[in-house]
Amino acid sequence: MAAVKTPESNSASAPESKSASAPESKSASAPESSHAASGDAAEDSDSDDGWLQQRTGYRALLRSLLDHPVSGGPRFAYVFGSLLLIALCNQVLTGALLMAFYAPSATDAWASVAYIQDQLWLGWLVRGLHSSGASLLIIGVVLHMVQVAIYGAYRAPREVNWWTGLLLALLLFGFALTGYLLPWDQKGYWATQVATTLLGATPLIGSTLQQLVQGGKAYGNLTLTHFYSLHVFVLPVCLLALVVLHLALFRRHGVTPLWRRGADELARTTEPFWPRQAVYDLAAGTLMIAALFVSVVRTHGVELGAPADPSVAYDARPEWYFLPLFQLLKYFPGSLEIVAALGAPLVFLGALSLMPWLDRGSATLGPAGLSAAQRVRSLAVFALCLGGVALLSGLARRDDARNASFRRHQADAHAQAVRARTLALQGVPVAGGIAVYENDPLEQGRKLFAEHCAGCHRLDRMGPSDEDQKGPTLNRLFSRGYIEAFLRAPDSPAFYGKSPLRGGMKPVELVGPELTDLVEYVYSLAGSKDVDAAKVARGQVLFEDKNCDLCHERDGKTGGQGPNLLGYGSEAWLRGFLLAPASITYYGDKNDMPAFGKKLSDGEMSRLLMFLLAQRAASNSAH
Amino acid sequence: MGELQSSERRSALRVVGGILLSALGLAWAIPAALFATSPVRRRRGSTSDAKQPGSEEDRATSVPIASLSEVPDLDQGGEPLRAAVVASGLRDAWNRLDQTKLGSVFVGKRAGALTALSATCPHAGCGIDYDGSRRQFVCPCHNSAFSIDGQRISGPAPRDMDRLDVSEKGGTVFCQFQRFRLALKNKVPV
Ligand code: FES
Repeated sequence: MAAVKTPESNSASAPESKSASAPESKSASAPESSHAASGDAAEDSDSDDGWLQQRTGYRALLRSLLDHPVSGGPRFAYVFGSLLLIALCNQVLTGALLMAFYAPSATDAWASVAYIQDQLWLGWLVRGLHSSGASLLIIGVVLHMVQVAIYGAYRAPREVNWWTGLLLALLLFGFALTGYLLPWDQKGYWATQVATTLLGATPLIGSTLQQLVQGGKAYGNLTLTHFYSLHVFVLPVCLLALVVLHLALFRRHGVTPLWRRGADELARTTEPFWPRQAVYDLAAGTLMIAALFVSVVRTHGVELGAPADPSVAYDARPEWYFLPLFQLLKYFPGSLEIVAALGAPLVFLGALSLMPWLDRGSATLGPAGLSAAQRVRSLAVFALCLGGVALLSGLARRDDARNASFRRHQADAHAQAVRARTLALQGVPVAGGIAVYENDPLEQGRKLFAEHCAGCHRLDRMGPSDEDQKGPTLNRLFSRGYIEAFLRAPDSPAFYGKSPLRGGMKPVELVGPELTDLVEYVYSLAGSKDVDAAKVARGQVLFEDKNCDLCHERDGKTGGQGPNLLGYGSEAWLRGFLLAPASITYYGDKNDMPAFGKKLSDGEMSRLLMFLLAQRAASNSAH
Repeated sequence: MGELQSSERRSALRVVGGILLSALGLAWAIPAALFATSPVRRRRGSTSDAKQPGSEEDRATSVPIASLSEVPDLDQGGEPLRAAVVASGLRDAWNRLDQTKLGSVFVGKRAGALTALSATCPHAGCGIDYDGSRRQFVCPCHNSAFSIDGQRISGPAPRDMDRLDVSEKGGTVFCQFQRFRLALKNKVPV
């Protein structure tokens, strides 16, 4: 098969020199005649050349790019390389756009990605195209490799190109690994920990290497800046160099037609790349990009998890294309793990890169191309490699599908992500990603409690110890459990034991169902819907029979020995109490609690109320 | 005849190639343009307390800059007080900011009324200083000079210093901080 030398086709008088140097176009074929029709007149006389052409000679460059002969004529089988180039364009373009809005720092990364995802116009689309584009590239690489394997394009004289292809594929995994961490969400954070920990287990240089990559002993700002620099500069430069090399080698050797076709037929049917092969490539490329858009739009882009939180464990999974390796590690316990993690990819790549020599014995059959049947050894190795990868990822998926706790965990993680991102719409505090939870009114209510109430009251881990507690413990405030415990022992240290209200109320001496009925009635005073009407009715009778109503009015106006219980436990009751605890409808002159409500703004008040009333709801679900 | 057909087919293919290429280009270019320009359009999905520092939406916000007692009386020979403008609850892209410095203003009392001048030079945005010996404002960058009332005296500044609205409530001086476009004859809010 005759290879066209590029320099000739670069020279200004390309049509002539090419027909001289390209034996396969000796017959008057379609390309030549169309040259005469469309291009030659303008190209041959300098005087007609445009300003730009005279100064740059760009047409020669265009011709050398577009008129490259496709031996044996254009085929759809040759589109895969171009598809990868188009998918790569997608990555470069969307990557550049994302760079303009992304901040590689531990405090800002998640917030900036959440901003891209949820607040910028089409941010979800751009991010989705970038992330799914990575998957597309991996799929494209596999398809390209399969085509190359079937056509035998890895064989002499194209071995070096086969290797550069393998290196390119390896680089893609480098991109994927570094890119996965950048959003600094739970998923990326924990999954990448696995990768860097494995790196650290490399014999001898492991820990140094790990620290170098992650910029220190632990994850932090430097990890992100390091990964960012790898992802957007170092790897792209390597990728560019390898792509150029790969394409140059491709141009040198041309396409590899199917072995069945004779030299004469190939020569007769050879056509330049432009326009037919180019149109094939572009048509396939347009379809591919359309499919990418459709899949991204259908899923509304790729999910952004909750912000990375070192204190919250996460059942991390890598991206789907790392699943085979992830699965493999499960079979190699302890110190063997590192052997598998580093060894398996090496064996895999080694086997693939040796493919050109596996069929050595049959090399005598000549360079015209070996049929697939004659390359059974190398193709078997190739199939084994791909099959192994497919099997492992199938196993990984099956494991996860059967793992109920993993699925539950994923659902929780999703709910957490939704919550964090909703809160992020209000802006993320500068303290960083997880500070977004401070936007939650409940969380702000908790802070207000710690600030204003925890001096006297205990709730969860806030507040004083038993001896120092001046007011009741407010855990599960207004819940059935709280009411019951209070009715049984109002003077216990957890209630009024340390307050001036001590001795103000006698313990209720009811037990069993009667106590439950009374509790249900008191609980219902807040206007709750989740009550048992029969119990409430019985409880109301008890309330009056047992003379509770002697001290407790229920009209919201009248004072008594004890607080007025109209709406007890409701937001209105609690608000009124916080504003005027010493009012006659609350605790009157026995009250010792300052009117904190007056110090709070409306917003603060409603957040504190929300937090306190959530105590009731939280413990109800536990009942 | 065959050649003619084939050359026609090739032109048709060229057209198809061009169309496909443009389709691909547009598929990327349109979302890219919308995405990249979204910060200059109105923010979407923002909450009502979202404000860009010093922008139009922010105009109505008054921030406390000083207490009334510390504001000097310029008629009595006092020097204008340089006060930092610190605001809360602002948004900067993804961040919600508390206690953010927006800039500084010179405050003083003139004929019994409060005045505030932005310390941002209307020429190219440098920070203006007060020169006590000359009782003038001077910009250190290109030597624009302004009177104590902010009137342009000399130098490349195209207009007087930018006057800001001030008010007083309960002994605290509030300023409506605003930025104006630079290098213009007129005072145009950013
Ligand atoms: S910036 Fe003030 S004089 Fe130029």
